[in-house]
Amino acid sequence: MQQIDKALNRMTLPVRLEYFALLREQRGVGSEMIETAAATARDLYRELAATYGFTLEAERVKVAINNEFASWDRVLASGDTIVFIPPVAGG
Amino acid sequence: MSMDNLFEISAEALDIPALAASLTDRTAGAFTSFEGWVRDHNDGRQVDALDYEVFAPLALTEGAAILEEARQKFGVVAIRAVHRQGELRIGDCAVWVGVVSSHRDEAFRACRYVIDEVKHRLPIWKKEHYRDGSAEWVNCQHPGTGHEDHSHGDGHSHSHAKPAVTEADFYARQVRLPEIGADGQARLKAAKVLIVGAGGLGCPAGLMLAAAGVGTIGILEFDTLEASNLHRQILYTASQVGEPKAIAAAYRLTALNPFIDVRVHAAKADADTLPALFAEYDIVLDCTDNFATKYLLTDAAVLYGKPVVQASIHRFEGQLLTIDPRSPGGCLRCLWPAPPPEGLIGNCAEVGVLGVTPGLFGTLQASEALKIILGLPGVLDRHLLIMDALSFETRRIARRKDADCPICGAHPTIHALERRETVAYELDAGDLTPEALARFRIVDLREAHELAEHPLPQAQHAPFSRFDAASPEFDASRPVLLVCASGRRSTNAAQQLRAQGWKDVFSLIGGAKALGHFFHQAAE
Repeated sequence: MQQIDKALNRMTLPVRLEYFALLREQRGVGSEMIETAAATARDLYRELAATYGFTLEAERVKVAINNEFASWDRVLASGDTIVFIPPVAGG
Repeated sequence: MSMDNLFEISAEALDIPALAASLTDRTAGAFTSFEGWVRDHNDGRQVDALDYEVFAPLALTEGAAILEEARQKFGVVAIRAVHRQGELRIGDCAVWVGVVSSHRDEAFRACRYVIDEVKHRLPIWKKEHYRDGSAEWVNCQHPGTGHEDHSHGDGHSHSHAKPAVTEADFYARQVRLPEIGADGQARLKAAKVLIVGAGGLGCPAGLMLAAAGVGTIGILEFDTLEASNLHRQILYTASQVGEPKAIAAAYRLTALNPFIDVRVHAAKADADTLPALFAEYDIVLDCTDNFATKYLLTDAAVLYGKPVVQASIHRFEGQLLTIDPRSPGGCLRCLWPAPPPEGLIGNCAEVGVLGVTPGLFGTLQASEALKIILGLPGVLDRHLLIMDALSFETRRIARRKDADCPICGAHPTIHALERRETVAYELDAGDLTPEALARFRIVDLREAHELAEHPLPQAQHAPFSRFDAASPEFDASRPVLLVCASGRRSTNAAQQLRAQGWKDVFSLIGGAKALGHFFHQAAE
């Protein structure tokens, strides 16, 4: 079983990422295609946050997958469009 | 004997015999007075009533200055003047000036000087209600742009050649749309929309709603116009800097559409003002620029059962949603249950903004309001719209009510609008004295690019982006007054420093603008 899990963890999925507002600035691009081994939206966000130094924790951000708001526990699927949205307040 | 001059603003009818009696003086040989009355016509139009809006803080200072000028210029004994505010009927006395002096000549001349200067210099606006049901705001301060209600003897022939605008002509193009028609136009006229925040979002929203013929538009805004507002707040002109925005906005919108009723609410959006306003209006546009008010309006939408159209922008991006308490789409708290800590996400003053971004989103807010009023499809009550104005990447993301939402969920934990009590470590500029201020080291937490707007040469500069409560760049063991643009970042920093055990650390409400104003007044 452990061997199967390891094999699964190495599997990657192609996904499209979009960043809104502060996250766009911290990532440096508005959107990108990546291959991810993350199982859930939360795992993916944590990896990105560590890599790009996002200052907002996942709890402060909403994730939308394929034009619908999703839970951070949502399991990712190949071809998902994943949008990370922090709250903004400017006027 | 010497008497003091007195300039007053009165919300009550003037007691003219009592005013005259108050000027009795044994050294005086002359008394003159002037009374300005509300007459039943102006510029050839029948007037039924007038509303006077006075920006009291400025009017009282300027009025007192005029009286003192006149006293010195003409050597009179004393002058008293009163200007009305509020609703006046035909025949009411709007302004009274009384002068006592030794001789008649200086009394007449001082009286004439005071009434002329009062009409030219005081920040007073009047809204004329005409017999035909329309209304117009007239800025009494700029005689070139408005009408004068004293006799100017030029026959006022200037505006008689203008063609009359009728309501039918005004709305002709939109009534032609089958989705609107005469019924839709009547619904627009019956609708009441409150705009909270007459800034970058509220200005274009107000123009669009007024032009479309929304019959009652309220402007809730406490601030005065600054030069740095003009690039995006397109209701105003450069000559209005320093004027209260709520009145300037009402003036502009009524000028655009004289067939609607624009109401001024020169106050803050808080637990005291919102309940009555949510009762008065059908739809609320959240055009504010801070999380605290956005969450307050979200809660008010749910508590009082009225739709709130909310837009927020960040640099070139914006988001838009309509909170409809009856919709399964939920509210702002369903997405983000609580606002982020202050300072974590920048506001316009900190990060900058190009006028077109709030211009786009304010216009979209007006579009949402019109759709709700007209019953058109596509209202964003179950979606969040996000758009990047640079790439034009747009997403319309489906949202659903969160059963755990603290305000609209199954077991809400919020049952009333939050009262933002002034925390013990927040200071109000109005309570400051030069002596109290001398105790503090002032630390300016704004970023370098923000300093020029309200320079504080008295302050030590320590930008919030580098702020670390564990090792502040300033001595926190001595009394410190923290200042930023608004008081939000400074309150956040004060909280953090107090959590580290520093006791004598305070945040200034209103920030650098309020402190600069205080120094300016103290210097006079």
